[in-house]
Amino acid sequence: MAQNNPYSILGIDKNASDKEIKSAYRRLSKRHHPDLNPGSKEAGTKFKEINKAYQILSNPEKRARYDRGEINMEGEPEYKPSGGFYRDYADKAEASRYFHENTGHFDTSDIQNIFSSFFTGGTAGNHAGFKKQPSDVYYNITIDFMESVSGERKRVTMPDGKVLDIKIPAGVEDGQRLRLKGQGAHGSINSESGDAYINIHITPHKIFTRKARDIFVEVPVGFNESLLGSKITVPTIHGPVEVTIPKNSSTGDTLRLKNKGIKNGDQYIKIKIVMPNNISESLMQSVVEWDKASHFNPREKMEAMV
Amino acid sequence: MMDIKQAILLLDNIDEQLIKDFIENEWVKPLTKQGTYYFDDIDLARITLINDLLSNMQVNSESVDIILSLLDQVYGLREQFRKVTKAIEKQPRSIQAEIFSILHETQG
Repeated sequence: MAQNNPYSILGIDKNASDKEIKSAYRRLSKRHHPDLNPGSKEAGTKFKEINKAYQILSNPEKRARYDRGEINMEGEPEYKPSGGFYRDYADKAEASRYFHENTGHFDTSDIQNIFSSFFTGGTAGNHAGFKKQPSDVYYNITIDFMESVSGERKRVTMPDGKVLDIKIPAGVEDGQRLRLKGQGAHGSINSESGDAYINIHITPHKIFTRKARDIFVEVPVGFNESLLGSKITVPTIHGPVEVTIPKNSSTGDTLRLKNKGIKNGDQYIKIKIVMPNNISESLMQSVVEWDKASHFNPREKMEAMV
Repeated sequence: MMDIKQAILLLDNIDEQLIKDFIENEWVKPLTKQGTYYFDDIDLARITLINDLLSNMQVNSESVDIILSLLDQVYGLREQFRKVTKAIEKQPRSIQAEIFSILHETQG
């Protein structure tokens, strides 16, 4: 059985050298030492097995007898340090003389600090969650980008079964927290109800990104459209809008659509020139001729900077 | 409680000098009365752990400092966690349910 095979326990093969056995044992015992894994019951059993396996394989005589099938792992004494494992004591009050030294002295205000650092999340730390009324409740909801932009009313069933009507304000930002007064737990501690706090998470949009009230979008423009100048249709959060691409536009040029962002924000269009995949012979010929005649160096500025 | 001679009888492959080195490094802190050390079971278990690190696992002594410091923090935090758990146990069921629901949500 694999479980009782000292070679497979140490993850080595039958021909492993003493050195390989030793290094496998060291590696595994570091990983599975019960005192280094205080929360894991598994580590205790695993560690004992590793030690039994090592007792057989590290002793040439025992190893030979095991290989001949004369002994198995059953007869090996269990690894049990005198006095027991450290973790058996470290989880008791008597251990405090060891951990208080290095952890600093914990008191309840430390616990409050730990909690408030969790509860306030990314928002300002000036209102520590722990100090709020005990019957406040906290929820998370995820809305999509377009919902966050236009705002809306949502009826949401929370994981604890509570149904809330939430008015999401237009332009709400990722990580923003809404407060619903009186929608918390009914006071089993206080007679009045606490508040519900809703953390808003926004899933990113495939084309729109946002900075404060401005919207950014990258728009593919054909090389012909940019060369000749043209009118194209561009999506905005308020619907499609016709935009003039000026002659000779380049990738990276940015156009601004006033008031097409969130509230009075703007939309910025970043041009991205795209080449067609079917260019005619005659056009190719013209480009070759133009290339010979012109002294166009698109990297002129860059070269000057190096 | 036992003195260093009695402690050595219970420990495998550990001599008096080694224990004194551990104490000097502040890895082990037995009760000290009038220059005599008195050991508890927890001190013996800790000595065994340190010896495991140094001999079986070939950890060097600088690393033992780091490992013990981190371990002491882990066990310290476990104690804090138990205190918090006890405090939660004393809350009414509805509050417990709220806490578990929040923990469940934030784990997702």
